[in-house]
Amino acid sequence: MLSMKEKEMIEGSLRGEERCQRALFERYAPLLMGVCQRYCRTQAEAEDVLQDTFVRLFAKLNRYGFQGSFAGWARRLCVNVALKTYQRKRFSLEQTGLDNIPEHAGAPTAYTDLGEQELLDLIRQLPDGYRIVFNLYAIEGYSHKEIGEKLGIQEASSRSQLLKARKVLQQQIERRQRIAI
Amino acid sequence: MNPLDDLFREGLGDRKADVPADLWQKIAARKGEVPSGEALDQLFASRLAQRRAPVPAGMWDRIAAARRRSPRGAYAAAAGLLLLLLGSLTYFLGAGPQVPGNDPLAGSVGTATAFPLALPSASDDPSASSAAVDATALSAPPTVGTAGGRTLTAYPSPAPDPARTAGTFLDTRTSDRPAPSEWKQAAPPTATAARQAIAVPPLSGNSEWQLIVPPAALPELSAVAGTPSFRRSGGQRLRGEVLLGAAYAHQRFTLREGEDRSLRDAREVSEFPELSYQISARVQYPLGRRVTLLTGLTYAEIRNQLEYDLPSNGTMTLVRSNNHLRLLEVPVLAGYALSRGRLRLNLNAGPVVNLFSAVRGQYLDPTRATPLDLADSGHYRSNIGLGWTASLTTTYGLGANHATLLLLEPFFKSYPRSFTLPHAPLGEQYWMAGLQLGLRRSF
Repeated sequence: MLSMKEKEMIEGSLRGEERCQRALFERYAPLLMGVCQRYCRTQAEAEDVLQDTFVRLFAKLNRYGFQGSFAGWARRLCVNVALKTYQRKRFSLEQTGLDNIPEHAGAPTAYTDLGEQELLDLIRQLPDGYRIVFNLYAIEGYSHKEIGEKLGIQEASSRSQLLKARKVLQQQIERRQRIAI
Repeated sequence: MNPLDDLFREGLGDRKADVPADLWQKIAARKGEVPSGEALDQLFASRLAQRRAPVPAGMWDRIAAARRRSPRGAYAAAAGLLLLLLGSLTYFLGAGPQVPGNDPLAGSVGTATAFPLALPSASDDPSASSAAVDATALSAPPTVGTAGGRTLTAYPSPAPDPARTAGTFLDTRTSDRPAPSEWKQAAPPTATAARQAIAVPPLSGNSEWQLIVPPAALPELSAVAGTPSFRRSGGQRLRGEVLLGAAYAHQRFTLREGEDRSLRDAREVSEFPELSYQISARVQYPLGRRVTLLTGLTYAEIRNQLEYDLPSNGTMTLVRSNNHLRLLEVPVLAGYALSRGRLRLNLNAGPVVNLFSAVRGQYLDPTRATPLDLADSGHYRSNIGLGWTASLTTTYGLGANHATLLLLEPFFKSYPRSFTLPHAPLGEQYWMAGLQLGLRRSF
């Protein structure tokens, strides 16, 4: 259920009132920036995706229709923009390997002590394909079928990418832990 | 051996310090198995799913600028142009070949007007044979009648065009006219329409009958291969036209490798498209029935507005100025004529050769307090090479003889090459979409 203030902000934005649009931006930009950072390898890319997300959000706001959570709608839009950005770069799910992952990434930490930033860093070090599938499955909660449709790949490829992503993440965490102990 | 060393060795060498009781628990906890599978997912999801990240300063300005430069209008215009083009192609290609616009008779061809045809009556009285036969009845078999002692055969004919039938009367009174018996033996209307003869009453009211050859009887000379034809005079071949048009010019910056993106951000949020324009003087030279060559000279000016806040006396003042990119170019276009009835369309496409380009205005550099001059930056080319353009020209005749045509021309133009030099930190590319109005005259 939308709070009254949120509904007013959306309605005002639909009327083209910049004050409401800015308020909507200030409320949801931090959340969407968090999403962008998970899907993008660098901060600059994340900022570009956030910008595109809000441009599209205001352009398509009339499609929201006040059905369900606005945060969820905006988040799905943001994920789609991020995916489109990476699809434009024609990332190859199967060809991306583990070569680009640094050997000793981050400070020695036990997994129980891993904070948001450390976890984010681990995700961002993943190859594009692994990172996107892991984000979609593990964090956004999409099924492999939905991921396959979104990315235009086979369900089996999505499963394979997820398993590889998990394996890499696990190895990275174990490595940090060994150093910590 | 130093006695001091001995003292410490003996005192501390075999000392066993107390181990904290919870040390093993701590190690065990840290040494615990790293979660795998769904548990690993849960570890990440629980900490990152609702994570909020700081939004960089100036992000709202970037979004506002990006929304302002979003070329929805231009996309709509381009889509409209495309639809118009597709519609025209469908219409013309579906209608089959048409007589090109240069033919003065083209406008009257195909107009199905009822054309009364008189058939002789059985009483052999020409004056009584004025019963009009509507052209719609011409699908009937040949009619045989007599007039002035002669037998005439009338074959059905499509609706004739008065413009074409003028001058096609055959006077039966001429001395070398065939005998009536030969008339009756005229070949049936199978192979050529020239054999179609329709009997009509004489214009002067005398007793003689005249034959009118329907338009289908005239062979289409231009359609017959190898038929010799007169070369068109120079006045019909060359046409001059001038056009003036407004356009939207879409600016796109690309970051060169290794360059700082802050310059791109600064320019994207401070420069907005304004109404651009172009003036063209062109010559059209027909190469065939439908194909024309179009060339000339075009001067185009791409205009952008620079907007920024200038601090003065503790307050911010919004400053606006204009940037201009001036282009002198030669279009070399191939045109294809699409005509139907009064509507004339020309589809043109081809390269645009840039002769000269110049820039005037300012831009924001985040490392400088004041805007910098575009021309002094040394980043811009003086020639941007080849571009390409496509347009759809519609014409409307002015005056009694249509010697002057009014032109309406939506156009699209793209410059694939960057307007900046390779060493510039940013690439800058443009495409334009607009509408031109002009006049065309044969000379």
